Amino acid sequence: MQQTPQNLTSESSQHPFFLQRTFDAPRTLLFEVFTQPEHLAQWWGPAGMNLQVERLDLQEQGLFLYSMERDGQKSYGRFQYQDIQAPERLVYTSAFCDENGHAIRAPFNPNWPLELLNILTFEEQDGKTILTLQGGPIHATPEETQLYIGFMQNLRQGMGGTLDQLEAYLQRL
Amino acid sequence: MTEQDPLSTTLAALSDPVRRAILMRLAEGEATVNELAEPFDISLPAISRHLKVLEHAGLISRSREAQWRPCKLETEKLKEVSDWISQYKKFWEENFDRLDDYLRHLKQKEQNHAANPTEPDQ
Repeated sequence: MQQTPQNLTSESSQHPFFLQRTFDAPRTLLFEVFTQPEHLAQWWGPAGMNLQVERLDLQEQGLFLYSMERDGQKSYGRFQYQDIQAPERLVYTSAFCDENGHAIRAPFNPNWPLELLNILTFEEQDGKTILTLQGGPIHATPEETQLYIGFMQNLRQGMGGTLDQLEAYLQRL
Repeated sequence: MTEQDPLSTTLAALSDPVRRAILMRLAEGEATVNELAEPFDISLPAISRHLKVLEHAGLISRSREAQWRPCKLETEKLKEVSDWISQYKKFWEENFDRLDDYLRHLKQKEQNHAANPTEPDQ
């Protein structure tokens, strides 16, 4: 179901995905490396894949379209910017897509939500920047949301420590 | 309703703390329904329902021969989902590690430039 734009970026809800990291750089620079194509090409994307920035249009509803290549297989991803407030806040939806930037289903799982919301905030402290990334499914069906939430819960808590223990057990087999 | 894909089925099975505790117990070795039910304050039928979910997700198997049908941990599915989850975790960590390196590189470049302002940028 369609949501109104103000829902899109509201931070009242608890987002299922949450990640924080401190970088040794002022936030103006960090915001730039997150939003400028020549910078993004240097660090963004899955390891071992050759990433190309196809285009980047830094304005609300604008697209960052990138391609990834591995073993001659090309796939595409996109960000669609929702809210741009340099240097403290960046909101975009992310999705797998085709070469024209139309969102497509994740290659690994048909029930994975089509689009994910990403809310990035940049807070400066003593010349360093605390980056907070929050997000979750958007415009998703209950089943898709359920899959994502289940996945994230397992990711965040390592299944209440269970997964780590089971992994250790699997190593011993 | 479409048939759930395998990953969704596995994640749904793992989403319950009782079922995870059952898996942990089975990591130590085979056990019967009675043995599995012992630590929990829930009925045998409830335990049986949990076992059905785990069995359907391919996380455990139950012997057809023995009268008590002991349950056994099946690790393959578990490995699949744990691989997938750690891959996702790794994706962000690797990106941020690369970003760290890249920021260091930018800083270095700036310092070199400040030290030799007449040198053109490499």
